Amino acid sequence: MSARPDRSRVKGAALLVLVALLAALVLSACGGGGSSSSSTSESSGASEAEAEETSGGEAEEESGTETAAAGAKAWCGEEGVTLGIQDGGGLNNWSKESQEQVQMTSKECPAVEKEIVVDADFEPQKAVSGIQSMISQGANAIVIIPDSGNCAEVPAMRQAMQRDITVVAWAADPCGTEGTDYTKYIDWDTKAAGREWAEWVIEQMGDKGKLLYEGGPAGNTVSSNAAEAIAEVVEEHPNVELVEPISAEEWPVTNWDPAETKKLTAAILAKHPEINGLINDYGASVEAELQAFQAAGREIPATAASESNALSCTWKEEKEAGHEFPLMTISSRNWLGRYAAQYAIAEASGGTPPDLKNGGIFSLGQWENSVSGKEPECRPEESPEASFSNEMSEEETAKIALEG
Amino acid sequence: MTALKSRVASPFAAIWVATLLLFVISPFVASGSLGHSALQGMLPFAGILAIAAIGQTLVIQQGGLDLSVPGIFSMGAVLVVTIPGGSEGSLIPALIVVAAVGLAAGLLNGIAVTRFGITPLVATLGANAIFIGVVIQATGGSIAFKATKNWQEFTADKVVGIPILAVIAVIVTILVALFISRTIWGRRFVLVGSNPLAARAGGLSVERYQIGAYMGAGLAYALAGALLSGYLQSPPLLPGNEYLLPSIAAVVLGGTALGGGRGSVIATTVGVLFLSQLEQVISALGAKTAVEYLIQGAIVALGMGIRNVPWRRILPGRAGADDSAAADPPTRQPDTQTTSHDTASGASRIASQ
Repeated sequence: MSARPDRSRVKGAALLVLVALLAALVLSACGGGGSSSSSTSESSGASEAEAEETSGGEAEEESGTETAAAGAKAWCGEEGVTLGIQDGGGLNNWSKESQEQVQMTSKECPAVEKEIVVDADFEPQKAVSGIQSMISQGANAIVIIPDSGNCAEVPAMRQAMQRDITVVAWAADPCGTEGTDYTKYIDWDTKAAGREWAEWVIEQMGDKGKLLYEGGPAGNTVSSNAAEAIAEVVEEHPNVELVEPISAEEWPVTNWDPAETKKLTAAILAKHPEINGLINDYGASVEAELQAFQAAGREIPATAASESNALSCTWKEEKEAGHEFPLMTISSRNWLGRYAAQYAIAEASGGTPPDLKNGGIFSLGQWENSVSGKEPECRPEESPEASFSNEMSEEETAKIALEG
Repeated sequence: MTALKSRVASPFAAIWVATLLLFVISPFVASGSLGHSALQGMLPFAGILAIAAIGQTLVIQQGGLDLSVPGIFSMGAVLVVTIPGGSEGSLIPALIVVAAVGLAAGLLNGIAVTRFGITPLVATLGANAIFIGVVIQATGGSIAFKATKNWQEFTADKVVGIPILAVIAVIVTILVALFISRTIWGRRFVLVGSNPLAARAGGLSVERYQIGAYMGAGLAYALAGALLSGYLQSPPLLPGNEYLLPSIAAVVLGGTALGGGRGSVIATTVGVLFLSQLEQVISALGAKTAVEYLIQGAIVALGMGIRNVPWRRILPGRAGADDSAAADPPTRQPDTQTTSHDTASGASRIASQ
């Protein structure tokens, strides 16, 4: 554009800054963040000092001095720990809850002197530079969700291992080899989850009819394993057929995005006049799937998914409106972060690592079941994405995760 | 007859023909893709995309390009949920703030482009990063509330069986088209887009119109974001990410010249309808995700590329015939729907009105 006199430029600049400030102010004032689901009662209040963190960036926190009752923890040794906490994503409630669970645990151990938090925003480059930055800042334990991209973190994790840093991967397949690329991998058994969902839904369907599975982004291991297990279970039931074909490589893709889910489901509903059971591996997107059923004027069939507050609230609303549908959920598993943190801190501080069941890959079982067992819980005042299984007590999680 | 010829020859006619063809072949290619249920599922999202794409049309018509769609869209989506925080009474103030923030964000883009002479691509890309940063900072990474019941019900409502989001998109399209073609400001807006130098010579404040385009676009994105929030009830943190490329694709498919000047919001809305139905057909065919992206990409590339083929040179018989769709003209053509002006004489005429 044409050159302007200086005065006009100054005026423009002032206006520019004013607009940016206004926008920031308005959003900050009305935002204030989500009240995510609270943590376990015994330890969440251990320290008020939260690591200040910006997305894609890092934050540091001095911690440990205010913690009480730490002596009782066998996993908490005496050598000083600088704990790196990394998430390949970081921009949703699930990531927030996961980080909270790790930090809550680290605050129980006075040996943890410093935390370094990195969110990679699903950018492999940020994930790699995040790990390298932790190494250079002297981290001797790293707890990481390695899901920024297709196995992108492996080389950086190996680099950390070569410097005798404990690396505990959790909640996403780290791709490498235990002992070389990471110290320990802790996760849920996604195939077991797929079987659990499929067997339950098919039972609700009366062992016949059409079953729809919707999964996350193409290629992700959670959906791939779940799809494979569901397809196996369906094969065992000759009167049950899949609405859309699924396998370890292929399934209807929601991208774990509500808008995509709603569009996809509307298209599937247009093609199939009869659907008797639903499985969705992400609780927050299953709500959009159910909305598509409602919008099309179709009854919601038996549904199995990961837990979410919004899903439970939809179930409750439908029940109150006289359209109750059977719902079963599996924990959204953020609490596994507690064991990931315990393991990493134990290795770095000279404590005793927790004795994990099945090498650290757990079958979570059912969390809620509207037909028999725990009724889905709705808390309208909390975040739609909140996961209440994170409030499980130490004893409850120990039953699932620890030997003996 | 001449009027009819000129309509058929219009660069905006191609998308009408393509969309009509797509709808005609849809039921044969993929059964169910044109059924009542399929349309009811497709139209609300098409409506939201259309509103965003109308904003993009305004900017492109001024020779710009707006890459801040994700940021402004997401701000609108987040604000309409977080301001009321579940309280029904705060919905109207929330919508006013959404509109104000959309306008302010557009103003920021406009100033960066016009006053500082930053290339639109860079200016809006940078602004987008700021807006996304603000959303993440303000929400702390997750949205704590659902849209209010009233807003949910409004966005899911139907008018004579047609989803209200589609109806709103049609109304916005008609209003903007009328504004551009029937008002003096609209005609001047077109002139500024097609030939800023002539407009400036004619005494028009070019920058004001350009800033106005960005502000109108910001308003459109924020409104589209707010509508999506209501329709999804619990929106994701950055829902605008999915709307950047389709908004540009719809504009270009519609026939608006990327270099500015020639533009039609009606054709853009038809472009949105084409893209949405295409997605529906591909999805109904059960194509794998990769194939889906490939087909969509190929059709959009074809739709854009075909305009740049020098038909006059390839087909000698067509020399002198219509080829206004060929190649974005170096000197921009100031026509909207049906009217075209000779730049030099049109400039002084419109400016003096």
